[in-house]
Amino acid sequence: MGDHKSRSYSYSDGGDMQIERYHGGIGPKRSNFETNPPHNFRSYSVSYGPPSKTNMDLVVAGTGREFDFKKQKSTAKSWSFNDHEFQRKKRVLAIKSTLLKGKLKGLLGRVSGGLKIGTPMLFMDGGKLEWTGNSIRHLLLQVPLKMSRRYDSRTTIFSPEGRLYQVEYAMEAIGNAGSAIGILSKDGVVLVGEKKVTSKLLQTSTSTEKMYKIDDHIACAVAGIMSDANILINTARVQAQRYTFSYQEPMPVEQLVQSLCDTKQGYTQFGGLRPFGVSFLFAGWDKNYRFQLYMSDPSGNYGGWKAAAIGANNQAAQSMLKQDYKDDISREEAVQLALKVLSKTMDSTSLTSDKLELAELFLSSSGKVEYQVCTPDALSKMLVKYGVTQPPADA
Amino acid sequence: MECVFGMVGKGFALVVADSSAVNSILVHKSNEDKIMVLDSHKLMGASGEAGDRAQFTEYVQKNVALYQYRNGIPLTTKAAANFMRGELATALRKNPYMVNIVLAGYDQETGPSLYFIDYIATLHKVDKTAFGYGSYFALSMMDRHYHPNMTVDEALELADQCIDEIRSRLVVAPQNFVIKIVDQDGAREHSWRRTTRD
Repeated sequence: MGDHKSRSYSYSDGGDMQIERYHGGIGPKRSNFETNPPHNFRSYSVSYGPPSKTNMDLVVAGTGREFDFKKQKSTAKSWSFNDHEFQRKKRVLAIKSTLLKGKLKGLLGRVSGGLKIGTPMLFMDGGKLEWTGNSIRHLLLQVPLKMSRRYDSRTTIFSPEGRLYQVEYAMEAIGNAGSAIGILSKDGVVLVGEKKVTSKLLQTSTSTEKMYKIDDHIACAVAGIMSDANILINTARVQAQRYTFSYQEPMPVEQLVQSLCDTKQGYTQFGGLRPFGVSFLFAGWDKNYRFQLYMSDPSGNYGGWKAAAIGANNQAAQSMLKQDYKDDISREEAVQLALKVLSKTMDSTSLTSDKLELAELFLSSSGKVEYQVCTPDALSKMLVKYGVTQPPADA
Repeated sequence: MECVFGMVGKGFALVVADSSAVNSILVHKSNEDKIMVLDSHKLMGASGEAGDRAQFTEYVQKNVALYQYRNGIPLTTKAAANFMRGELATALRKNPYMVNIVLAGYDQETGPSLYFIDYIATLHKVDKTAFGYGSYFALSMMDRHYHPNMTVDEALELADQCIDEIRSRLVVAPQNFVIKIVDQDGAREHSWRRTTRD
């Protein structure tokens, strides 16, 4: 009955407990709980950490019977297994459970009696099933062993300190990605990105890794998970075109950023899906505010910046930008500053044009907005000119 | 027989509309204001089914206001016109709005502009236009007497000539007309041309 595939479940980061479903036909009837273990662990989480840290979560909802560990232990011993690993785990669990018994008794103060075998149990999500000896044991074996990460399994819940862990973890993910810097100058916006994927084998003819054009007057630089970025870039492009379709005018930059950030915010509040692990630097021009630079992060917050950095080492880059940025900086000086800051904060030893991408947004002489990605040759020349090329170690 | 017409002058745009509210042979009122002030610098003269007219014009007005609240900047006349056209076009193949609109606006960068928006979502940017049976007379008068960069007085004189023509030649001519003007100082009511008091 059921499937005999062995499945391992890990219930907390670091996978401290791998539970393998045992094979073999144990006579007594298997409850639903075993063949389809629920994935809603919140209903059953019990902490097995050291008593001092332990903060009991409610084990079961309902029926008003206290969980009787003694009973469980005796039934467990009566089984015979060939799996030594399993025996060991059982012993460990038995020891830990006695420590816990006292705490549980206190927690379930308002309920009386004990959870005997055969007691029907109501889960928090309304499902109902029978307790059997197997199911009690199985419940215990499936609980996570670490408690501190209780609030990060869902994006849509706050932690007791009022933080959204998933959003913060998303930002962590970006902190490991290739950095990007944007600088606003009076006659244009400069975006520079560090390429993480550099290989001779990579086809780099027309595609860019970090810079993307959203509309004729808006471009963006990306840091984070590329696949997430692609989805958002597509969304941004659709939104920009939809606006133009409605109003026959280019979408104001801030409105685009706002609308994209509204999308991102949705993933932090409802739907149960994880946030996007991408940060953006948007560069654009519109007739209301001329050149603009916006930075947005996975939480859905955004801000207008004169100079900003995202991705790895962005703190260092940001402080460097703060020192050297001047309000009336020209586009050429902005390029120079961006390359300088990037060269200082990049991890790699040698700064060559194949590790960077440079894009500029400016007005052409006819007044049209131009978005230009620098060719590798021009970029190499620029690196030499500004003195930021570090020759490779073996010259 | 409703009638709305408009023209662009030097630094301003004018919209004239009749003010009769009619149901078959009954005149409900003859001081109905059919030129809605869309925002500070836009005027929208509408003619057609009374219910649709009120519904659609108010819908557009509120959306234009919402845009301004959300984004801190007003819509340009062109953007507003295209938005309206889009709404009419979307509703057209399901339950069309039977409203014809003359949109006049003043933008800081581009000056005054006038748009003709049909009930089947035709959009034209024009210098002079008219809707209704009165259009047969008004357009002919304007073809004869209109020239670009007219002053306000010249434009008013032309408007009066059109109104006179409509009154004398149209069998069920509207009794009263309202004239509204929009220029860099904003959109406002200019005057009325009455034959009856309501």
